Amino acid sequence: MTDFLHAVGFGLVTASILALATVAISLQFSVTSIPNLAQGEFMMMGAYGGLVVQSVIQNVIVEALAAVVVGAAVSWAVYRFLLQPFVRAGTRNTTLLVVTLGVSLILQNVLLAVFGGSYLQLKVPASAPITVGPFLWTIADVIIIVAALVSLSVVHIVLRYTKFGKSQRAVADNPELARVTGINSGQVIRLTWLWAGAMSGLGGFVLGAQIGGLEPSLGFQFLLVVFAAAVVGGIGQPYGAMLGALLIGIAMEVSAAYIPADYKQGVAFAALILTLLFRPNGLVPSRSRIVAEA
Amino acid sequence: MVEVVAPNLLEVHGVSKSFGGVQAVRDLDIAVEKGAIAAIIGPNGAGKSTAIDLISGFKKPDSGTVMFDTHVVQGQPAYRMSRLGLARTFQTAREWPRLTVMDNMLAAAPQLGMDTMWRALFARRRLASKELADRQNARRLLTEFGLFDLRNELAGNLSGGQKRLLEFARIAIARPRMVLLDEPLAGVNPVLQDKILSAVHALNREGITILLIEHNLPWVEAASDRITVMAEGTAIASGRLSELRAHRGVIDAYLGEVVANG
Amino acid sequence: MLQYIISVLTIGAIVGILSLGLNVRWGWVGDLDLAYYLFVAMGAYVGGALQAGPSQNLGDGSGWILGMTLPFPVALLIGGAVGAASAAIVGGIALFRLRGDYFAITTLAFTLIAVEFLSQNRNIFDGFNGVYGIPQPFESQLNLSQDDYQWFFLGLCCVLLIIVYLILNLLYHSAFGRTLRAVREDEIAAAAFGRNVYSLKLKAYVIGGACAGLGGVLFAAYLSTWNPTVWAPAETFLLYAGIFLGGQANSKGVVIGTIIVVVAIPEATRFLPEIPGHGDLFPALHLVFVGIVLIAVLRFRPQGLLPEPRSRDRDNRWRRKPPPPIVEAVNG
Repeated sequence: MTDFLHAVGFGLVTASILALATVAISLQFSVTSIPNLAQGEFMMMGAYGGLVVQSVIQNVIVEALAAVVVGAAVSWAVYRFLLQPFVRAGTRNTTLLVVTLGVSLILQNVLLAVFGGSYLQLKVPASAPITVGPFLWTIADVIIIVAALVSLSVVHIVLRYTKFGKSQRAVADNPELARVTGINSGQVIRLTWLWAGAMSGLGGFVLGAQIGGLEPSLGFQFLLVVFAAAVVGGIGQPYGAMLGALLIGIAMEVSAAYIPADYKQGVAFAALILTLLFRPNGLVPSRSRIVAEA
Repeated sequence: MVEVVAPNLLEVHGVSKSFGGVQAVRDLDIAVEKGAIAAIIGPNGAGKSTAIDLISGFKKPDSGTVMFDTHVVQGQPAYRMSRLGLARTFQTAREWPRLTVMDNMLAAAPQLGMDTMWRALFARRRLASKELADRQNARRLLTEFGLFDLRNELAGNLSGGQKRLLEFARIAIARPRMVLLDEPLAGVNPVLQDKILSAVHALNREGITILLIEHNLPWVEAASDRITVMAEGTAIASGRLSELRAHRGVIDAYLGEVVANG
Repeated sequence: MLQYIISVLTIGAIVGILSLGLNVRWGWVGDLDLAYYLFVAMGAYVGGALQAGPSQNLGDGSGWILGMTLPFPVALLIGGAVGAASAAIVGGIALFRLRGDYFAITTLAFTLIAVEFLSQNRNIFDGFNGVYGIPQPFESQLNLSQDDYQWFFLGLCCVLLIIVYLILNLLYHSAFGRTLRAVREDEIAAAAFGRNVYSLKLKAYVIGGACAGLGGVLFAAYLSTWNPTVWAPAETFLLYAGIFLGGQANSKGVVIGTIIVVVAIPEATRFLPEIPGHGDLFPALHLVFVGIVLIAVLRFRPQGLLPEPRSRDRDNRWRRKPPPPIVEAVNG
């Protein structure tokens, strides 16, 4: 039982990392419908940004902020300069997916060219495991969970209570209607990518913090777990994404307590495939995007 | 499949369909005689398009029966309905845009089992002779529908009206026993309405029974001999338009609004 | 230098076969399949193990299954069949309901599961070590010098490339190929004309799998080994870059494009001076360049270098003696 609870505790940490990236991809998907395969690289660009800052100032908050800024800038620039021209030209979604694949290839290998392929250590405040209720966490784990909870609260507050959040939801529900009612949907979409990039950058940083290091392909390896969480939750739905991240994060860590830990990603991928086959709209279907008639 | 003797080519009995609690089609009855040009009219949201989807197998009815010729067909997938001889068109012309007009025709022609991998490799002579026959037939039909000069053009480059005519030509080469036309005037320049009308008659002369949905009442009256009025998911009356004009329920549900709007 | 050119051409012929198979899936029928190298790997593992003989028994249960010393042609055929059969399973599941982006993501998940499973399990294809010691086809029978054998192997790859090309060309220009293209253009309309879309898409997927399996057996023979590092999902992305560059659905185009992307570009950077301590630099820059080419092609020349061939109906008989049209010609 203790083992099980400890596994749940690890699961909550994984879920926190996942939630940042999953909510980011869902926000972005809700306004553009592009399954962005470069999302993992946005995470890594942010994380390496944090790593560079770490060589100057050893302060977790400053490093995380750097990750947020780099992630946001990269995401915004990729949308503005690479994807938007395709969207304007009416390119099909499948082709846009290939474009994001190209972006992923470029960014990942820029990182490889600059930082090399070996593991670079990302130092975080170290501590002996501490007991929090039934769970066993390090200081880094606690920081990760707090960072995720704060970010998700910000998402909730922005979506519910700000003018931008209302516009964002309007564009996500029905872009045509939003345009008619005078919302500058182009701007809302660009800001959403900026926002999603910020969360991705933070997600990449905490991913590196939990693992203790970075390598350029880490983001892409993590991306499909993010997709699994997004799809299980109901793709394009920020609140569903939170639920999906929680379920996938806990499922992965709990499964690792019973089957070889090497297969924990496989658990997430299997959940992705099974969800798409049997409940393609996820647990919280988005109103505007129904994948298939049930 | 159950063998049943039916005087009509298509008989729909008590078909219902709801989507997430919204009843789109409710206890619908429609019958179309062999060789007829029948029409369904009704206000927006009356369930006309859903009715077509249910009959053609693109959606599965929750209850009720659809009988085509002697086959009970509800719940069959769309491609099997088509192979039984029940074809359909859509609200937008669904040409195959990056195929040429001629290839659109050849791909729509009945394949009679000739489009398999093995035939492509091992029965090339038989394949070639079928293709030649299809090609002759396609040239004749493209000429008939005024598209012959465009036969090497990509179908995606045609105008809205030309795409509609290509759609009719594809139906003609597919030679179904019946076709369901979903708003054949949608996306068509009004000056071409007469051409679409003659295309409908041309299809009918080829021996194809027709059931169509359309909003434009004068056009429907010119095209069709028997009209069914749908409102709120069900058929409320049927007959000639002149008879329907006197029908109280029809006026309340639909025609009144049309007349009032001019 | 000559040897170097021969080996580059050999890889070119092998990836040419691979790109032709992927082009059936994406170019002909329009399914963005990201699992392609999974089927290459199936052919390579099985074909390799069937030739390499039983693996050494270290007593810890590791090693590969199917260890035999079958002749190359038999292994080649079995490898192709295994590629096709595994494609039938994956495609049978993934194509049943999923299309477009969702299909693509699902196939990516299938690949990653397979990479993980085969890497971790040392008792199937020896985990990360993979199958090694795969003999060169016909080498022991031919008794050629090293140089002459390289020529022979290049010839073998080219002959197989031409055979695959000719068979696919026959299929592309047949009624079967046309029906697949109709499904690519609008599968709902294809269903409305009586085409069984699921079955057709699955057939295209299986043809692709067969090409992948054949190419995989050749590839493993060329490398004389096959392990999880050579079939990462990124390899499939490179094939796509080649297909888009060369021209989707144009067989000549995809072969040329893939050879440019997978072989010519990295080989061109090989002669640049190595920077000490930056061993990853040139491979990384190669992939950055490929990514830029991919995006630029999609943006500025989406049809690729060689666009899809358009069939022409040349008979003008009806124009000379037209029967009276029922519907007058429509302009505009």
